[in-house]
Amino acid sequence: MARYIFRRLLSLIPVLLGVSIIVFFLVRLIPGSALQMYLGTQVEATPEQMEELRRIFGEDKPIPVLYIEWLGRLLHGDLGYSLRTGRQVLPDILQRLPLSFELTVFALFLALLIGIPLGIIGAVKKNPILDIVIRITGLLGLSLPQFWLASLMVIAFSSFRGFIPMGNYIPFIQAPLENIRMMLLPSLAIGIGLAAVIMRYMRNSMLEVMQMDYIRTAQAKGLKRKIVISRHALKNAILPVITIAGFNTGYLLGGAIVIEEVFALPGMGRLVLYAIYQRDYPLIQGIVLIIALMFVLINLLTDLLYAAIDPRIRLDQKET
Amino acid sequence: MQQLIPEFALTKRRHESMSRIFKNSIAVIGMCIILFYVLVIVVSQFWLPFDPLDMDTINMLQPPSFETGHVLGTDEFGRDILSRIMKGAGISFLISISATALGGFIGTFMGIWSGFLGGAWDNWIMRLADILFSFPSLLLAIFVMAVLGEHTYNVIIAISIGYIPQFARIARGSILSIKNNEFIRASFASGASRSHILIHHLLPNIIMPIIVQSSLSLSVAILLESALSFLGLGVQPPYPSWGNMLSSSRKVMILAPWTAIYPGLAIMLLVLGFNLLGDGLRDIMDPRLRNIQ
Amino acid sequence: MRDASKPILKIENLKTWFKTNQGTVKAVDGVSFDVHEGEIFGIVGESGSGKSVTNLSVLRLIPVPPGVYAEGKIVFRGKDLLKVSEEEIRMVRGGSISMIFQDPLTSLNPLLKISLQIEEALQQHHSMNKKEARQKAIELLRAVGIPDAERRMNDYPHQFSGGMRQRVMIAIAIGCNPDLLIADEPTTALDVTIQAQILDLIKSLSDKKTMAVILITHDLGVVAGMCDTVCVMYAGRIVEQAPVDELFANSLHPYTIGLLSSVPRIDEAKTRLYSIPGSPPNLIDLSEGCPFEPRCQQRLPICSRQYPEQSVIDNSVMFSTPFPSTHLVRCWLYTDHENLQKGDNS
Repeated sequence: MARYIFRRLLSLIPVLLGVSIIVFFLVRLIPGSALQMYLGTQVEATPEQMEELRRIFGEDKPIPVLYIEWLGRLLHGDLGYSLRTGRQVLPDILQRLPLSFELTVFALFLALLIGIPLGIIGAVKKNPILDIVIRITGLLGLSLPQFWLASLMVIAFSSFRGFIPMGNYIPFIQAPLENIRMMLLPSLAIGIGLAAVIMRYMRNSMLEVMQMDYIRTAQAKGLKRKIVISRHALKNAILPVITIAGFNTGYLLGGAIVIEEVFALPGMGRLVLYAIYQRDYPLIQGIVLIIALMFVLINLLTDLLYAAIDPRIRLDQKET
Repeated sequence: MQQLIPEFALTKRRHESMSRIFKNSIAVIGMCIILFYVLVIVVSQFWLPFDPLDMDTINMLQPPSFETGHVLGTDEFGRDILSRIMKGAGISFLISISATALGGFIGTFMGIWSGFLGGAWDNWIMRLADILFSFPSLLLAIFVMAVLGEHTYNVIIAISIGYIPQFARIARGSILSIKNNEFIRASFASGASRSHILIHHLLPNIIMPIIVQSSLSLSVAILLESALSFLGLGVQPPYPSWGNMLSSSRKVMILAPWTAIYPGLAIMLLVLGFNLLGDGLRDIMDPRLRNIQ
Repeated sequence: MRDASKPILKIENLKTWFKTNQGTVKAVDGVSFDVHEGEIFGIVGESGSGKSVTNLSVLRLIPVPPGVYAEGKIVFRGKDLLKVSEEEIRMVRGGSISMIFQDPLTSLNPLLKISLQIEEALQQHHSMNKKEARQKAIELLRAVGIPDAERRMNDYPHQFSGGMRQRVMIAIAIGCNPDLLIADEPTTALDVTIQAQILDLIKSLSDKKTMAVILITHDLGVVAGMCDTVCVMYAGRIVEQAPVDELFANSLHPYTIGLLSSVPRIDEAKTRLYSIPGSPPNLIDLSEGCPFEPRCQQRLPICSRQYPEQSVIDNSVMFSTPFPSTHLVRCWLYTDHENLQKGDNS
């Protein structure tokens, strides 16, 4: 297992490098963005002045060199300075990270909590009407725009102030119950779509697994049906669901941005939107990098979880 | 279960089972929904109940009623919601189809070559796809919009970039699964050229998965475009997009919920249509449509 | 001590069908045979002959829709297994009757250690604690010939070779000392060299534990080396049954003869290999007559109209076997059996 973890970590490096390259170059594509980083948004300069400034700031070096320098600063934790506030970008991002992180994780948790049991029930109970209901519900959940659902929630719960955060955020550590009460609806809005996806995948996976030979063997041993399902079928059925949940977390991260906007929550998503409205390029760069990093890490965790369950991935095959 | 009843023990008569009809009808319902929207779009080119840009502040925030003619009500500027929804349909549709087509073509192309050529090409192209995949789609779209600026055609590019890895993976998967088939090798052995094999053998196998993926991508594209418009990064006001209608309704939606309900409903229904179509098509494609109840 | 005359399993006119959208597949349509204590009973047939379905029916492992146990009885220890409660059949499964399957790779759960897969069978049928179960499991692995058993307990199925996996399956199956082991094509998925080892293992376990075995196979070579009694199935019915030596020396049914002729022999110089012409029938549209008739070289007019009755050919004087034996065949050629002499296939 350790060897597998090591290998996966190693394979992350080129991906992370690639991500950083894309972020760096895309921002560079914005005309004037490079100099703006030094001068702020208020300053205008003639082309000659721009040339001069470029030389002064060292921006006239070839782009790959600039990239390396940037990467170097990055690895030291220097993500640049915000054009608007002049402060370092990283600490501001990190301050907002817990909120976005909690939203995403809570949404994932809800999605699994709702999706997996419903999927299992859909597979185990052989009811054709239930089948159709699950299918349609699944497709509906997939089709719901998150921000619309959030808006509907705001309308519906407008009399129940306690559930609509609107600008407030109480960290979990401070007051767990209030925190959950506030975060419940936003996380639900983000996660419902994924719950639908998980439900369908879980059901299909269970149905497939139940046809497998090893289920027949388990029955031939005389095991009770409950044990056959829980010990033999579930473990196998949940594997593809783990993978799916993992890479759909990107959907959750994206959704968090929109939902933070709807509920005016002070998270990273809202920050990146403001950064875009105000053309604060270092900030944009920093947040995009961090979110992409989060996504990559989540996928890594997903793979590791998969390997923890499936010995064929983590152990070498030995032929005796 | 299938192993107990080998193929030759069953006749090959065509026989519609209830589940097969159901699976077909999912695709059909999806198709109907989509066609309905297309109809609305076509009609909207020639006729709209009201001018979608016409601000009539005296009549602002009217609830839906048949008497006033504002069947779905008016927004905070007195503009007719139904007309704006109809107009927005065209824009959303256009953006989604363009984005899916663009991303789809590039991605499929990359995937085919990647799978076909194998080796180092395969490695690098898939690496690139993996890197693109590391960005959540909405984040990537937002980022690209930030880089390119807020014009409608940029939305197309922003959304399409995220599709490239998905289509590439599917195309590559199809190619790989057939590439090592015996009859392909036999073709090579009997002297067929690479492009001949590509066109005649490999491409037909790709069509169906790509179509299914396209339908699903179209549904996501609508959601992405609305989200971008909602965030102010997509279609700019005063032009209506379902997303920016929802955005501007935020201030008033508690007092006038119809300003939020109907645009969102329009989004959901169209997305549902594409999802149903894609789902139904995927079922039809499924070789496990054995007729055992 | 083994009592060879005592039947432990009596299958009487078993009919197991499947309801499909294209009609009812009569996978097993009137099968009867007895298995005696310690007997190794072989069932031979092509795919689709109904051999697997028959045996899955014994343990009631056929999924009930679409399957249906249309008729017949399976009597074990005085009870009809088709009619007993869910609780009771579960006690039989893995306890007094065990089954092993064709592909040991897919038949073992890839995510669980084999120690668990053996122990759960033991703990289901005997009240044992974890330690006792583990000990017994290690003994079982040794008994089936797996080296370094204690260490291998913690391995997963994919870490074993094909032959070893089948041994593990056998270990699981014999753990509770069953009276009957049903082996459904246990060696088909294995290398030829390993096949012999597995079959030897099964035979020796049968001898040691007085365990009857139903051995399902399509390979006549396997049958010749292992079985005491053999029956041949075709299209869901038994067409011929006899003690093994009798069947090989004196096969009567044209299908059996065809099967035997298809086996290449070293001592014959043939230019072409023989195969039975035609293909197996559609199990939905079975005709009224003998299902083999379209492919039979010796068909009579009555064969297409009416299903043959069973004839008993008594040759017990020629081949002695400890198990009650008769030579049965379902073929119109032999209905007037009083005129039949040994070796005369008229």
